[in-house]
Amino acid sequence: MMPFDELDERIRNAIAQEVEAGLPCLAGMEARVMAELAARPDRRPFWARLARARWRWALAGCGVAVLAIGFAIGRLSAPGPSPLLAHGGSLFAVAVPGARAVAVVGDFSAWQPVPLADPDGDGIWTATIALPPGRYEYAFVVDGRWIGQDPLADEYVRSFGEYASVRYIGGGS
Amino acid sequence: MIRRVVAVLVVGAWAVAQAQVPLIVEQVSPAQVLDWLERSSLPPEVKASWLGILPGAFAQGTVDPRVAKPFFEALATVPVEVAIQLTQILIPVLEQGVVMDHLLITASKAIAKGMQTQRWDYVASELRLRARLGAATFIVLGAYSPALRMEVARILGDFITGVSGSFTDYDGMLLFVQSELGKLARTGTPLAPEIDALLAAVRAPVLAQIMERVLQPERR
Repeated sequence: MMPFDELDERIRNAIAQEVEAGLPCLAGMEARVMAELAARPDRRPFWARLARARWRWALAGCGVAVLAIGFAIGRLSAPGPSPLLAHGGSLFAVAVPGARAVAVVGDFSAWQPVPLADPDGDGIWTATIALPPGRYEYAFVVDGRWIGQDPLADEYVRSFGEYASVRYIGGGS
Repeated sequence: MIRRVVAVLVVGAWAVAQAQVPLIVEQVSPAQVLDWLERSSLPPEVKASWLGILPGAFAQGTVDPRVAKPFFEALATVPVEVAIQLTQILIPVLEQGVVMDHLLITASKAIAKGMQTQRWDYVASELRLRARLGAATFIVLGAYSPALRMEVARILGDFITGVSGSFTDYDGMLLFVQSELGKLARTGTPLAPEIDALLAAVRAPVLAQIMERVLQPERR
């Protein structure tokens, strides 16, 4: 087995090369991501509108109905995909101009690829994923290449010889 | 009265929903997983091992079909000898009655990373360590929920493989567990109240018990 220090050295070199190669893509990334976010429509949650109308019983009824439906979906063995991509979720974004296929893999998808989209062709690929509070490991896969260091991550963790990003969802994050 | 009933229903449904692993994968039934497994290109000995134990595991709730299906799909993409090796690592843990959801997700992650590095010996070694940590933590911290126990196992695995490399630095281990669980609790996860109780109880001797079991995996 490869010694840990030699493996670390190789990983450091690989990361250095990856960062160097990605520097042009990172230029102005924050501004572009913020602009993209700002352009999104302001969607106030349905519950907020209901609460404002003082429709408390309707709110309670809807809450029970939504939870019951969610519970049923989770428990029943009905086939078919149910990717819960939704507005107001956690944004996963990566700047990779010229990429052909970009996906995020992580704990939340059992490490199956969830595709990202770049509809305006500016090289910023995004997906918004609704996730409950918790800790999530993830990485981007760009044209088959693993990118485990997301600049927007809270921290990084190394396991199984590769880095992954970590994001904490909830707690005001 | 009606308000109380509604409140109880909301809280109950919410609690049940929170008990499930937060996943955005397709919904599948145990029968669909077993059928897929039977038809898969996995080696016959791998299929036989899993088909022999999975029906009981599904019935007992120790394996979630939503987690199992992506794992088997990933397992079908690795070299035959690796599929056999990973199966031999995981089945004994399942036989001990350990709730496998987190460990199967970890195995899926291991395969995803292994596909990049092709360092299957490295991947198998670390998965073996994490499987032993999962089984040992599951037993030693039996008073806590399976999700929290497996989270502690994950933290201990990260400490050994990524932070310290030591199986016996219990003070460092404890600090890392406290730090990681503290960050998790601050997210507002449903595990938060349980985390407080666990942090009050877990001390270096408890971690020593876990490590003793990890290093002597044949002990039950």
